[in-house]
Amino acid sequence: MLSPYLPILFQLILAAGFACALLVLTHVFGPRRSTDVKLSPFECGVDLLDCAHHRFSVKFYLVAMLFILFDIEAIFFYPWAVIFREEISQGLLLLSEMGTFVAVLLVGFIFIWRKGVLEWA
Amino acid sequence: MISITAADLSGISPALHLAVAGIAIMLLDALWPMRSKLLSVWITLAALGCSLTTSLHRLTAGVDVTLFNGAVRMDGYAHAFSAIICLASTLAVLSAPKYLRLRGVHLAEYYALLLFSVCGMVLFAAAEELIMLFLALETLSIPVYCLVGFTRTNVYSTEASMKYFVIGAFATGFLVYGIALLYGAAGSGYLVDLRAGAARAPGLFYAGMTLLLVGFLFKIGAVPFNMWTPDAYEGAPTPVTTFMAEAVKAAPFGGMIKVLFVGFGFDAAVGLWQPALVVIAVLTMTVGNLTALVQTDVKRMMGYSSIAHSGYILVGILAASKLQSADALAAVLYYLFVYVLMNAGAFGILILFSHKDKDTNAVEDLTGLARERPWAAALMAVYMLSLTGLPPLAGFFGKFYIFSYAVKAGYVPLVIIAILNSVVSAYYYLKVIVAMYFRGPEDTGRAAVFHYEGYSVFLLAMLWFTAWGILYYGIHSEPQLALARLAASSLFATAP
Repeated sequence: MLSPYLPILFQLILAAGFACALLVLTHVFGPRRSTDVKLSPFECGVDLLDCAHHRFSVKFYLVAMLFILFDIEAIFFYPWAVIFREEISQGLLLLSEMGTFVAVLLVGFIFIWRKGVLEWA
Repeated sequence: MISITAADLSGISPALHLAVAGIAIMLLDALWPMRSKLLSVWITLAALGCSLTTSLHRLTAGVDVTLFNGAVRMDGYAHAFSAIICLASTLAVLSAPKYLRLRGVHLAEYYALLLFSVCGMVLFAAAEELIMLFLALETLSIPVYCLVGFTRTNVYSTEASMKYFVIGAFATGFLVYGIALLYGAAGSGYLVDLRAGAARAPGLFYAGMTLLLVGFLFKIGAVPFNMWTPDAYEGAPTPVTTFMAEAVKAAPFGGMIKVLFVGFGFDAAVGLWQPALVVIAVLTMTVGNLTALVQTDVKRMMGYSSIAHSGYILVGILAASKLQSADALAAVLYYLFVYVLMNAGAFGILILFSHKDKDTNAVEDLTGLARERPWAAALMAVYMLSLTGLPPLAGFFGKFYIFSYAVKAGYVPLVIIAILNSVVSAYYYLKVIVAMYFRGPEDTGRAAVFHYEGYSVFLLAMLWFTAWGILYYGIHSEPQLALARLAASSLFATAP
């Protein structure tokens, strides 16, 4: 009865094994240059143990927001790619639709690039 | 397969013009920042003009097309709302350059954001499906949150933006929850199918209907969902307040009327929204007007007055739903048209006398205006008297048509309350006129200066046009009413 779930079990084991193997391998072979920043649990540019009302640069938000934006837009490519195979007879139309989407995306990219959002300094 | 055809794209061209123009402005600003400011004003006006003429042309030609697998329907109703909204936005754009230049934030992004918002508004009245409705509402709301905080070094502006955003997002939550429940009850997102949900799963249906209504009432600023209005109006840069008070005010009515009439219908079984709206209309008119009485800031006062006007419009919607007549709904559309003109003008006068370091917002700031600038004072008087509803100005005819259809529908107590409210509202509208004409610097103890800083032909054109419109379209209301009737009858053709 549970046999359909067997592949999932295998995948879980495989994923756990892969993660463990990578951790062990880096531990054994990787070079170690410990600095204060490297030793902190999260390396995100902000002091971990500090006052909660600490002010930090708005750039973090900006970069995070743009990342999410472009990330989500990249996700639209997946269903499109799947449908593209099924509806290959209408290939040109589908291609032009994705072309429009990418063009709009490109305008957004040109905008943030020329506005200097991508320059950290 | 599902595909977008050329017919779909040409069908929504009123919205498409705006989106393309918005994108073009962003590109222009990125690649050619030196010259983009004035050019983007012209691009915006051209795009709005294109949409306005296309909508009006299609409205008179009786174009009625269902697009995108039934998600969008560009009929007379959608085209009429598109025309009203494009007109409102044009007036708001005309008032913007002067103010933004004085504040040092005359950026091309302003026009791009505004165009994206207007694009959402046009689609909002055209949506025939709940997800489309939601998408359009967000497209129209999110740019406005940004616009409210456009003078970002101004603490009031950012506060207003934050408040508006948080409360707006909260309202959206209600709306989405309502949409989910209605979909669960009806098994379909199309508005025409919603009614079937009342019999299938009444609990889900009524909960969904209530939540959806709450979401809409937030957007139109009806009591008790009105608390964001005065703060957002006061804190926003005045041209943005203009935009909010007319376009952002009119647009939600487009979607709301359609959902109520086409989605829920008028049967007693599903028409529970009618008694609820009666209570809300009374509260909205009364609270809006009574709170406006004590305001000393014109922008804030206009915020409360806009709440009161939402109440009058709700009375018109109720009358139209009871009579189920296109004429009664046409009165609502005509009222929205007139309301757009009056508001644009009133805020325009505030912008006219705004200085580099200080806005002219308080009623006291207008003291003695008539002596120094008689024409400006006369224009402001026209707007205020029209808002009060004094004949023969357009505001009077707007109210007259709505109230007479409400009487015909049997809402006599509601009309009596509305008329009493109009009388109350005269106090605060006339307060502005009294300050301008019958008081001088000797009364306030400080000399008011009324010099034009940053002369703008755009703004003057807008002021004269709106004043002319109020005088002309009041007496010659028949062509406008005929167009509105055309629009309203196309909605009733689909309503049950």
